[in-house]
Amino acid sequence: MTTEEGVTAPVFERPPALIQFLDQTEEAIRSRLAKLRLFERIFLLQRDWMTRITMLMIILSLFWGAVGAFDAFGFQTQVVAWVEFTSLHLSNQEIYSSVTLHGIRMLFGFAQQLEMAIFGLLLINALGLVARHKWRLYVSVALINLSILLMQGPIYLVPFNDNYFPALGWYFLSPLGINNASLYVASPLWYLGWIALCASSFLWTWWMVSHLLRWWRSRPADSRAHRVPVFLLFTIATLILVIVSYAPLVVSTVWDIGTYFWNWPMNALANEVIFWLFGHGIVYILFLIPITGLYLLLPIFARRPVYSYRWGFVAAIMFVLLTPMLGIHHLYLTPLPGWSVFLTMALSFAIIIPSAITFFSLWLTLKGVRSSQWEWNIVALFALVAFAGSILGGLSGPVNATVPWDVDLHNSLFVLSHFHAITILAIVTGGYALIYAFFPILSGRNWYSAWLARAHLVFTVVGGAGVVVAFDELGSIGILRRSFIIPTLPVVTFDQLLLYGAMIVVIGGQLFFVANGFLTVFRGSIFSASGLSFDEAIRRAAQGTAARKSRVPIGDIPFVRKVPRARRERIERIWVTTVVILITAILAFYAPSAFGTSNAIGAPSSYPAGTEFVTMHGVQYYWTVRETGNVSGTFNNVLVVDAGQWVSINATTAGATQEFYAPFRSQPVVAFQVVPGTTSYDLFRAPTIPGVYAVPDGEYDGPWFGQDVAALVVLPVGSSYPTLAAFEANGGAGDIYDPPVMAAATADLVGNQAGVFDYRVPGPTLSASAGAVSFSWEVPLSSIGINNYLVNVTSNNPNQQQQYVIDHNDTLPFEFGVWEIDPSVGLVPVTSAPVRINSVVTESFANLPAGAYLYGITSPIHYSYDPDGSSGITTGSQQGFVMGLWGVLWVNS
Amino acid sequence: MGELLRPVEAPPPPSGSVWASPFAIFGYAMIVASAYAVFEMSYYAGVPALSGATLGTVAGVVIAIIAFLVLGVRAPEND
Repeated sequence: MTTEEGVTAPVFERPPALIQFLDQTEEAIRSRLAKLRLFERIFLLQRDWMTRITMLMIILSLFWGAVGAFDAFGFQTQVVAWVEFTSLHLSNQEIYSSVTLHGIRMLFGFAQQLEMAIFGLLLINALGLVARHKWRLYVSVALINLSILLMQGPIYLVPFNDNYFPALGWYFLSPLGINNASLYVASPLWYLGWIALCASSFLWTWWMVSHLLRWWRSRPADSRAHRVPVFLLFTIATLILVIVSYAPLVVSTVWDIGTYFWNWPMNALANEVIFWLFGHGIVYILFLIPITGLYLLLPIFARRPVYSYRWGFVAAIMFVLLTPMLGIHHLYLTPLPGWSVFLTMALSFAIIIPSAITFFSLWLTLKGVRSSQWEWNIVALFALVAFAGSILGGLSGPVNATVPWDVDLHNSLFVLSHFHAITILAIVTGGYALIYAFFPILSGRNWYSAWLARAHLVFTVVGGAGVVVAFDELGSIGILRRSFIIPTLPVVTFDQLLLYGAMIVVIGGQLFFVANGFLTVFRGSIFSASGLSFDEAIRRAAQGTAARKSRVPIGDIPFVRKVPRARRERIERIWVTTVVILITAILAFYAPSAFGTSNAIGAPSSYPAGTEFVTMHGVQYYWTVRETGNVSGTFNNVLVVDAGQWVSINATTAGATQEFYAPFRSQPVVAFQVVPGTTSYDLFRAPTIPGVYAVPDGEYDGPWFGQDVAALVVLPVGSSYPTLAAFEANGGAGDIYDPPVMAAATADLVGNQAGVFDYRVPGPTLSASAGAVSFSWEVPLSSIGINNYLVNVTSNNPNQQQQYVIDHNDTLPFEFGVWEIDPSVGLVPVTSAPVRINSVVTESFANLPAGAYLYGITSPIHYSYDPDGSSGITTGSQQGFVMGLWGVLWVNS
Repeated sequence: MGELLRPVEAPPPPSGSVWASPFAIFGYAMIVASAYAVFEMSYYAGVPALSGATLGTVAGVVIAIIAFLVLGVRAPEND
């Protein structure tokens, strides 16, 4: 690689004074640091600027990847603590900011920055260019790393308080986090971070395009008819997608900022649609890492060109055209028009075509290569995993894209199974294939240890596969993403522990890579590409990681085409035609249900006889419920219906998007999303077996998201109340979130750190026979803390909340009692008293009639987090209305 | 009669089993990945209340996998 350093130019050709100053400053810093062997070797300070910045980007990307992995580890430790009934050591805010920053750091700090590094390196080396516009690239790198720091929030706080780190989820749905529009307000630094990320991406694209144009213009006229290499087509596709994807992100983020500071009117659904134009685009931008890598590396190792250049060109074009239009498939369950939902489903299936072309072409590129001609070095092995991982993750894409199927799995951990298959087993492994191929060229040193490389591969694959399997198992039974307040059932506990173990394996496996990297720069043998072609250099770089007996000569072999293009393209054409026919048939099959699944932007035109009409309004973090029909009354986080009754829901929300999610398994799942500023409608049939079913909020809406679980109380038809034996025998319709049934007399309800009874919300359903009924409950003083909404946080003193309770005679001003559910009027109080802390309280009734009752604190508690007045315009603010210490008492006849 | 017109050339060196070729290995990997993907789908397909939503996509994916393999095996080599 060459640059223009060291060339003295006339005055009128010298860079501007600012650039000269920056160059001189950089050189002064470089030369000083280069005297330290540690810095010189790791950051390659003796090499040209393009090498140095590329190395810096790789190091920074790995740094963010490590931190992002630690974020996920931190989140999962809380989940494991929950299912193991041990204490939580992170606050809700810390837990959810961990999962937020995991996404941010992995997607942008790690993956996008790595892509920028590798694609820049690839462009310069593969085309034999002179790298220019140094400071444009430098500023881009600075901005992307600055963006991650900004998105972390106010790290300057003294005393340091990461409870103000934004906990929005990596994809943030307006108006969550926006001042005056949401009860959970993020630090504005979050939004500025996104703007910095946009600026970085545009700047890098400009840098890449500048070099591409220079290369194109500098080629001899007669060579313009020669093709752009296939892998370069996908690099160009990436650049186009960056522009097309980040532009809408600028729009949605500027809109968010305008609403945040100047109360611009917010149309949440429109903003979410615009955001998701970026949201899906970024995934494909990153997916082009393994695709580009495979199109580059497989022909090099096969010593044959790609099977069909034309079909590769078609695939690149299709990725560019289709990717920006898929965003709405993340919003299937919102009140968007049915035609837009179906259209997006069609486009989401259409984008299968370029992937189908790609992986068929890549596979056939290898056909005819003898095993003795192929070297299984670590680059080839990672390429193999990227190939398989892309297919595994890619095939679960159509599952998510099928609208009526999406109802069953929307926001469940199945979605995470899909995209962690893509990220870990395709994007990361594809990236590592490129790193292992290019690092010797970059650093001038051969990989130190093939064994460390193999260990890295094995741990990444085993751990990655374990993560995918665990998410798949959890998602299939209905466990929601992003929640640590999950049902404490043996199957859930097992799968969460499996996930935890798999995460440790895949994270630990990266240590082999880091160790190998350090050993390479300090002790690796000298690598030289002198006299080698580009392809030969890649083969030589990779060969150091192959077993000696399996090594293949690296020299280029002249290739003469024997199979005419027409024959090869014919089979590709048959394959593509097959895929198109299948897609068409699938879309035709699903059209009726796709149009009928989305929340119509109008209520149903007719209702079955005896329908229960329910009006719900979502507030962070509960639903207000108003009912008319067989049941009339108002409730908080409770719907009351008759067995088998049709239920019509008319729902609105404020502050954040919420989701009504009833993950039944013995009857159709009920799931729809409610977006602020719109109304959602749904019509479904209640279970036919009386009992208490759970309806969690499926869409993350702030740090108390986990406590937001409503109860669907299904009453018996007639006046006789049966026991819950049939309900239990039926498995509660297969809803994994149903509260467990316990005999009231022996139930030992104990409030925990999260302010719920027995690690369940709603609390356990207590069953008893009519007559003398009693149950006991306790809220220990030790459960009062930052994860408990019962006492506001007003101080940085960790004992403040408990001290408040002590100062108020262990009593809080919230009514704990028992209320009868009277279908004609709603809730009728039976008994209530201010909630006592740190005492075992027994509720006794001499003669309680058969019926369904609510017990506990059945009104939401206003909570706010504002230690020593820290909340404000730079930190954000947090408040909400939370219910947790409540459940249903079922008294049978 | 029966004599060779030209000296016999030495046989080419063994080129390795076709079942161990990179084409085959990548094909096995594809089969494993596809099989697990279909297994993932089978949970939903096996739940009666949910299977109606899954039938079309599962059938399409399975047919596509079979077509991929059959066409790939029958395709001319990349020579």
